[in-house]
Amino acid sequence: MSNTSENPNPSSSSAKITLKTSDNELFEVEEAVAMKFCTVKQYFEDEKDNDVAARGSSTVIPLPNVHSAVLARLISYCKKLPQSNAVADNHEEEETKKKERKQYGTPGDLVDLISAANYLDFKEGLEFFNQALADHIQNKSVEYVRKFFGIKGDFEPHEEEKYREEYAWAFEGVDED
Amino acid sequence: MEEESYGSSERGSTSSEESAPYSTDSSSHATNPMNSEEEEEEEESSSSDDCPSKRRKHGPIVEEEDRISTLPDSILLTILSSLCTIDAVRTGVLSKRWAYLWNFVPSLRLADYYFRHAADRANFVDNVLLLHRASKLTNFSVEVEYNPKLKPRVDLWVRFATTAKVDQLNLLLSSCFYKLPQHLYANEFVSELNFRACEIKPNGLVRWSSLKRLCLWNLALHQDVLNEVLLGSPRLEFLELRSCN
Repeated sequence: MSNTSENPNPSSSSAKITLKTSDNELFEVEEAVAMKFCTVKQYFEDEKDNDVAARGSSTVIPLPNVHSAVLARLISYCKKLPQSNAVADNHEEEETKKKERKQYGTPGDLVDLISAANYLDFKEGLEFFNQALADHIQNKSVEYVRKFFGIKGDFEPHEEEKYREEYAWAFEGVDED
Repeated sequence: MEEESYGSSERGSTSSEESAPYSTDSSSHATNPMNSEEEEEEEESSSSDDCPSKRRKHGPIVEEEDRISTLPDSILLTILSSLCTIDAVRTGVLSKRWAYLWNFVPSLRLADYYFRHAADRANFVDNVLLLHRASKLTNFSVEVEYNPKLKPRVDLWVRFATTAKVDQLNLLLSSCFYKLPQHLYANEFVSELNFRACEIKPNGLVRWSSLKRLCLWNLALHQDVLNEVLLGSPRLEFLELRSCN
């Protein structure tokens, strides 16, 4: 987990790795990008074959849990990742990031991206998309969250009322949208 | 086996092993992708995540499908961890799927500025801690307006956090100084400490053997105490002193 960004073979920056999605699309991606996906990285380590450059183009790595539309978005996100791991302490930077997170569309898209990032063990992506999703819960009303994510309340009315009474302090002062 | 393959999506090593046979199998069926998908039982549980048409084959098409609730607990807990605890508590009413999830959130962020009445503030923290069930805490943050009457309660909160082997402890207090309990000076688990308006006076040696980041704001710090702290934190990488005299 900790050596996500470690490149086992820094000289071979031009090496390509072919990934095959659940709908049988083939993606040829740069090694540096593919190695961000620890599941892919692990595939090579399991094969005890760290010489990705030599085998990269000839091996097709199947990703049966990832749809091509989702992989394409993950790859484009991966390419935009900053090289340094600087922590965004700055308030302005956090606002920019928040705006960036808003671009990732519908809740369904986000769930697909999170599931795929989780399967691929793509740490930065998982963090980013989790946060994008959390942005729609943070300081929002229950009604908003239910509507946004399509969650059906399945409590009996009296059960829900009881919960709201018990935790009344948690339901004050939230945004309605 | 099928269920295991779903769970394994969190573990890179097992999932790639499972996918290896698929590679050879699917290449022999390359002309008909649907066939190979149906033959592979292992994929059934997980491929539904990605293909909308397949996902709906069991029922009528619904307009707004609840996808978030299908995520595994581990991911939902990560999402809840990034929220203020008060927001996490509110998710408990969304549906039965969410009802007790927040009880297991590994990160607690408790801030009192939501509450108009001072009495509610500390009660809120106590209530959350009473209901919390996770055995390990990655983060415990308390941001409250402090007064000496709260001392025994804050002591309990700190004890709660250290018992849960907390990684990151933030005590961001205001108004009055809180004297840190002595047991906190010998903690081998904590890797990050942020103290605001706390009194740092160890009676004996400081032993923060895992501490990497230390931020001290708005407190009085003697040079010998600082030396003691640095001596007791062999792995310290980052030290920030803000408004300290």
